[in-house]
Order: sequence, then C-alpha cells, then structure tokens
Amino acid sequence: MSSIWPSALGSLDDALALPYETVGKLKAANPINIEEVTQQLKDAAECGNKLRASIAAELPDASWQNREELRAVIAKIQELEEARRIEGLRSRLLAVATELERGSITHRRAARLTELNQLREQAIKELLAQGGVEGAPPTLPGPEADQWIEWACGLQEPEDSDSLQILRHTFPQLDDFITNLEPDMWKPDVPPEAASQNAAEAEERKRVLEQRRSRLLALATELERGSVVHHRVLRVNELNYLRDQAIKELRSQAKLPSGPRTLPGPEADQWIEWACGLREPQDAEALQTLRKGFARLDDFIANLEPNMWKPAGSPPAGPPDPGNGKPAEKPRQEPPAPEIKAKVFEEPVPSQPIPINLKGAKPTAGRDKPQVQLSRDGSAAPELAVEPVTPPSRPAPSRSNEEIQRMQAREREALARIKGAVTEPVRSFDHRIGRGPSSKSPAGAGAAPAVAKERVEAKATAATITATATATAVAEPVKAVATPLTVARTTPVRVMADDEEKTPSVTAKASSAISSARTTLSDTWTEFVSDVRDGGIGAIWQGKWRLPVIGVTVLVLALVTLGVVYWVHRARASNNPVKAAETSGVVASGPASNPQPATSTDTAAAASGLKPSADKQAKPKDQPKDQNAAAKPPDAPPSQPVTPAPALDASLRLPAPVPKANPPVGTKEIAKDEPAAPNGAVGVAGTVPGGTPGGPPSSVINVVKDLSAAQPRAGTQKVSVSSGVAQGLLVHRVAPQYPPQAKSARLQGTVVLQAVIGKDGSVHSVRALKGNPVLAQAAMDAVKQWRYRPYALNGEPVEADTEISVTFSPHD
Amino acid sequence: MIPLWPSTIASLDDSLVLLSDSLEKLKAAKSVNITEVIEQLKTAAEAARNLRALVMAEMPEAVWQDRAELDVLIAEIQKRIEARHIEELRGRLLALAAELDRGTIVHRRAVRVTQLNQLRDAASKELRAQAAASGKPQTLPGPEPDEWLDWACGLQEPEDTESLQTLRKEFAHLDDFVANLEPNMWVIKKEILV
Repeated sequence: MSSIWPSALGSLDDALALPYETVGKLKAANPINIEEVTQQLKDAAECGNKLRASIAAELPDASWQNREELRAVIAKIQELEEARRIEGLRSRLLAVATELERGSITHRRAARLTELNQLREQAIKELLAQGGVEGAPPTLPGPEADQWIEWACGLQEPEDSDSLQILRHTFPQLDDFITNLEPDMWKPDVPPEAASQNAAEAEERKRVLEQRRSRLLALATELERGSVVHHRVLRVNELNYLRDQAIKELRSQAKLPSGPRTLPGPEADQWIEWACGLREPQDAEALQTLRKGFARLDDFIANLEPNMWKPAGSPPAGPPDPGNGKPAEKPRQEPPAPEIKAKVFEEPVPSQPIPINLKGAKPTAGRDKPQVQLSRDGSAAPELAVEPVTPPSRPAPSRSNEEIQRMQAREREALARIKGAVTEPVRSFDHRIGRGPSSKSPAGAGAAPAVAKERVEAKATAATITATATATAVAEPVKAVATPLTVARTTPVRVMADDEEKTPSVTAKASSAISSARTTLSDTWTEFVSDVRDGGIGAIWQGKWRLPVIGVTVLVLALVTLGVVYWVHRARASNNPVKAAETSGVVASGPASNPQPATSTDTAAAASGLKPSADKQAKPKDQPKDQNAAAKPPDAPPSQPVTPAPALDASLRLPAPVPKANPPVGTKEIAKDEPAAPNGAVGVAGTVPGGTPGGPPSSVINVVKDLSAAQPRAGTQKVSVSSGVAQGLLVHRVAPQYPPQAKSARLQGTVVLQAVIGKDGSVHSVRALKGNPVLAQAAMDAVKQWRYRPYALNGEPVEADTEISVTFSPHD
Repeated sequence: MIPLWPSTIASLDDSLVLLSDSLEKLKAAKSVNITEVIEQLKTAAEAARNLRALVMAEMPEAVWQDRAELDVLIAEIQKRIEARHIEELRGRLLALAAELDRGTIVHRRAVRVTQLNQLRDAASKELRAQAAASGKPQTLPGPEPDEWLDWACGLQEPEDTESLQTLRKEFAHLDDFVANLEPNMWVIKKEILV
C-alpha cells in the first residue's frame, strides 16, 4: 500500500479529533476554547482538500458520500497503484531484457564471446520469465534499463552487498552474466530506426542549409558579375557601393555557423529582376523578409531600377564614349571575394577626365561609405575649383543608352563650362580690347577647355561682356546646382542631405567668380576714365571704346523705356478701381468685407496671372492715352479664365463672416450677371480692360465670381470633425446594449463608427468602419440615439462627419 | 416546566447536529464551507453557555462532566421546579379562600345575604379541599387573591369564556358564588373598619 493514503487519512483524523472532542463538551454544555477548535477545523478542511485532490488525480470521476465510501475509493486507488507498480516492475524487467538483447559483446576470444552470449541469453530468458509470472514480479535493483548494465558492472562488494544479494537470489542468471561481463566488453546499441531517422534529419538539415548557403553565394556572384548602368557617375558609384555592401552581407550570412537565413525569391540569375519588381503592399511579406534578414541587399535593391542592372554576359551598356572610344560601362569581371573592398569604386566610367572631387561628401548616415577621390586618370585631371553637385537620381525607366550617353556628355560639358566661365572672362576681355591673348594670357591658355573659350569669344564683343561673363560665370554654376537639386527632390532624403552639403561650396565659388568680375570691371572703368581724360569726349567714339559706349547707351535707353511704360501702366491703374485693386493685390469687392475663400495673396496671384493678357489688350500701339478710352472694350478676345482657388483651400482661409446687410457689391452684381455700371466705379465688366459689356465677364470678374462660388456656405457644408470635438458636443448618450451572445462568447473590443451629425444634432447616418459585426450592430443601434449640440460654422449649424469609438468589455 | 429550559437545550442540540454533520463531511474528506462550520461551532458554544447558566442558576453548586451527568442534573432541577410550582398553586387557593372568608356581603334583603353567604362558605370549603388534595391542584385562573373577586365579577361571556369554562369545570362552587355576587355586594371587612 502506498504510504500517501494512510498518512493523509491520519492527518485528517488528527485534525478532526479536537473538533469531535469539542462537540462532546458542547453537548454537555461544558466550556471550550473556541479559537483552538477553529484552527483545528481549518486544518481538517485543508487535509480534506489535499486528500480530495490526491483522489481526483488518481480517479478523476470518483465520488463518495461518507467515510466508508471514502475508504472504498482509497482502496480502489491502492489497487490501481499496486497494479501499476507491478506493471512497472514487469516493464522494467522487459526493458533490461531488451537492453541486453540490443547490445553486443566484444571480446578478443571467440570462445569467451560465445560463453558470454550464452549467459546473456539465459539472463534474458530469466528476465522474461520473471516478467511473465502471475502477481508481482521481483524487484530488480538499480537504475533504469539504459543505464542498468553499466551500473551492474560497477557493483562491488562489500559496498553494494545489498543489491548484489538481491540480484544473486532473485536473478541468478542475470547475476551470472553481469559477473562475467566487464564494462568494456559491452557495446550498447542505438535503435536502428532512431539512428537512421536522426541521420536522415541531419542530412536533410545539412542539405537545406547548404542549399541556402549556395543560393546566397550564387546571388553574391551574380551581383558581382553584373554591372550598374546610370547616366550619372555618382549614382553608379553609390549603387556600386550598395552592391558591394549587399555582396558582403550575403557572404557573411552564408558563413554563419547556425546556417543562413532563407532568401526569398527565385534563383540567383533571376533574383535581381524579381527583387526589382517587388512592390508594396502586394509583396509586403517578401519585402519584410528581405528587410529583416538582408538589410544591405534590400537597400541595394531599393535603389536599383530594373534598367540600371546589366547582368553578366549582356552587351555593353552603351556606345563608346566619343572622347576616347572606351565604353561607358563595361561588364565586371568576376572578382574574388576578398577583393571586393578594393574594387568598390572601380566601376568603368567615361575615360574623359572628369574631375569629381567627393572630398566634401560625408558618409551617409547608417552606412560606412568611404570618402573617395574620384579622379579616374590621376594627375591628368585638372583640379576643379567647383565641386560638381550631382546627387543620385533615379533615371526615367525609358531612357535609352544613347540618351544616357548624351546626358553624360552634357554633364561633362556643363562641368567644363563652369570652369571656363569662371576662369576665362578676364582673359577673353583682355583679348577683345586689344591686348591679345599673348599680352596677358599665359602661353598655355589653350589648356582651358575649348568649349568655354568659344563661349567667351562669342560673347565678349563689348565692355559689357565683363558683366555678361560674370553673370554667365555665376549663372552656370547655379544652373549646374539647380538642375540636380531639382531632380534631387524626387530622390530619397538621405541623398538630398549629401547634396545640400555641397551646395554652399558651389555658392562660394560663384561668389568668388563675381568678385573676380567686379575687379575686372573696376580696372576697365579706370582705363576708360584715363582715355577720356587724355583724348577728350570725342575719343570715346573712336578706337576700342566705341562699341562699349553704344552698348551702354542702348541699355540705358531700354531701361528708360521700360520705366515709362511701367509709369503709364500704374497711372491708368490708379484711375481704375478694379485695376487699382488688381494692382494692389485686392479684388474690387474688397477683401475685408468679402468672405472670399482665398486670401488677398491668392487673389493678387490670380490677378497677376491676368495681367499679361490685360496689358496686351489694353495697350495696343495705337491706344489713346485718354483714360476713358481705356474703358472702351477693345476687340481683343476675352482673357484667359483663371482657375478658381480650390474649395478646400478656401475653406481653410475663411475670413470673418460678412454682415448680411452690406453684401459685397462687386460679388453681388457679378453673381447676378447684371450689366456693368456706366461709370465703371465698381468692379464690373466694362471697367476692366478686355471686358465686354453684356458679354462674358472679364478675367477679374471671373476670379471674383469663381472665388465667390468657391466660398463655402455654412448652411450646406459638411465638415469633418475629430472624435474629440464630437465627444465635446455630445449631450445625450445611450449606452450600447451588450449583445447576450457576444457576452456569453466573451466577445469584446472596440467598434469604430463613422457618423454624420445633422444640423439638429441628431445622428443621421452611421456605418461601421472597424470592429466585430455583432458588436458593431449594437454600437450603431446605440449611436443612432445619441444627440449632439449642432456643430456651428460661422455661427450656423452644419452637418459634421466624425468617427465614434465604442468599446465593449464584459467587465463593464 | 419553565419554557426557557427546553428551548435552550433544543438550541444546543440543534446546533450540535449541524456541527456534527459538518464534522462527518470533513471526516469523509468532503468539501465543506469552513466559515459556515465555524459559525455552527460558535452557535453551539453560545447555546452551551446559556444552558450552563440556567443550571448554575438553579443549582449553583452543581458539577458535571458529560451529557449524562448534565441530564441527571437537569432532571433534578425539573423536579425541584415542579414541586415549587404545586406549592404555589396550593398557596394561591388557600389565599383566595382566606380572602373569601374575610369579606362581607351586603344586600337590602336578608334572605339574599344569607343565600350568598352560604354560597361563599361552600366556595371557601371547595378551595381548601382542592388545596388539601394530593398531587397537583387545579390551576385557578385569574390574578392574585386580593384582586381575584373583582376580576371574577367582571368576567362576561363571550369574551372570557375560557376562564369561565375553567372556573365552572374545576371550581363549581366558587363559580356559583361569583355568578350570584355583584361587585357592589362585596365589602372587605377592613374597609368597614376604616
């Protein structure tokens, strides 16, 4: 019998002894110690609980009513335990027998081996016989079967006399075998099926890992063998850098002892094409895997466009560069892995010396991009004062290689022009004024780029060429900066950050060019004054000063003409209210009293957009100077209609509401298409140049009309309000009924509804955006009964669209 | 028997029955509400304390060890209480007889006075005879003797039927006398003296 049951029952009885004694005392109306008895009762209850739990563990479906039945249940459990114990003993004997069978004996002598095998057979038979007897088999001492033989071989007298005695008396054959067996003679055997299964699993695992590894290496090779094509060298370099990082990552992953991660996608030769085609959200899973497991590779692929990749074996990227006949891109030879770092920036580039100084470029955050000096032909490349700012940009997918080549050529030309424009103006000017290239220019002036030289020669025809050259010198670098920066708007932010760091440097160089031009201009002026002093005024019409003076005179006259035209325009505009308002950036109806949807800035912008056409129509060459004549409608076609400001923008810029008693005159009249006022004092069609009385309204009127039409009307508008605002307007809330089936199923969560709050504060329409349908229906039923304070816009109630969240919790 | 005794003993026994049931459940390792069991224990202890107080009130020197000894004690106390009760009944009858003897009947007609005096004598004899009888005398309904005649002359049917029935059945002469006596006919000698 197991010891647990008597002890459990004994504990219970002990705990109950005092309460029973207490009952006897109470029956005789004798005094008792109630605290002591209470504690005993608690102890008894605890013992009962433990006993009950023990019984439930053995016989979960056992039930009893009294102590007698409890005893019967415990007896049944003891029987079961005994049967189990017997079964355990039996199975142990069988397990040792199996262990003896599975193992093998080794010995140098065959006779001894045979003898030991015979003993083993007898021991096995004995164990099987003992295990098959009726009733409880004898207990085999020692550990579990798989350790039993080792344990038994280690038994020695007198330390293990007890175990040896039992063994000798109960299992004599087994004892005989063990006595003859030495530990090193016994070779336990691993179950063949388990061994084969383990081996197969290990093989499979190894195969899978090897497959993953080889796939990563193949892709790394593929990446290495291919080449990146782009019309911007900087972009090519950046992508090559990313590519090399990706290759490194792939190789390091392949070397992981725990096995590489699984790379999603097809085989290596199709992988890049596949990866470039991944897009979110369709391929979110693959992209996530890629991003998590192969961050560098993902970075490379994210920057790579499909047409930028030329896999190994494909024809060269483009025609040979006219400069030296070398191809713009040449396929990469498969390099050995350790040389990756050295080859990072060895991508083939146009052979013409393109001095690209990236000294100022800093490594992008999060990457270890090295600072490099990109001078392809070493010392042959002249040092540029200006660092070219060529931020990485994504080329249009449809660009052909020829186009890319042309763009590259243009880029090189622009770089050369920058240098020429900055360094050549002074020399060109000297040449034009008669000093000749040999007088001041060094003999090696021809070293300046030919393009810049031609450009300066074509333009330097007068003294003003200095200013022109200076302007060119400034404009070219700025243009060179502006173009890539414009492109850079579409590039990732981190790329822009690099470019922006370079821009100040370019600006500084441009400032330097301006300063140089200014000095030249000053020198020219001094020379001019000296010539006048020496030869008099007449001298300037002769010799070298003739053309410059003519040029300056023409320039001055042009400026004066422009000033007169502008003054006339202003004077006419000041006599015309509409025009005046237009000129001052205010529409005729007046911004302060008119709830125009657009601000005065918007209106001025719209009006200024009309000006060219208005001026064209109002100022023909034979236009009379009379102000009234300007009001007459010319035969010119109506001006271009102006696109009204978007309603959303207008709603965001609403001015103060207008008193109804004093509506904006212009707006009212135009809106009703009334004829123009004869005096033209108000902003109607007849007062606007190009306007047609009774005909289509002029552009300004269109602006006014359209802007008026675009004005939000509080009474008909529906606005979106946040849930917080709506919550603040809530005046009557009906709690949602927790659906019984949802409650019983312990369904809970938040339902998000979209509701329209009417002008009267009632909820007009409700629809569920998110949440369990059962809960959503209950929430909608409740929300439909909610009441809000009407949402007011400009003091008038409007419909409000909002989101309402209703949370269901069974604890509420 | 005084009603307090049986109720106290019954209360103790009832609470002990509940407690014993709970202990049996505990003994069988059944689930019990231990708080409830402790309450049952407290109730039983309270009932035992009350019973002990009653015993000590009747027999301050009483000592007992178990329920059997307690039962013996309670039986003894009950006997004492019963004897005391009989003596009280007897004394009450004799006191009323003495009260009847002490009073005087007043009436305008001598014949009627004589007749009522005869009835009074018969009632007095009846009361003394009842008190002298062995065993438990009949219980005389009504108040104490000095107020008894006033109370009895005020009895009327059907309101006091029960008392009149008892009187008529157990004390026939006394009932006859009270039925003929009017309240203003009975004068206590003491008052005449005053």
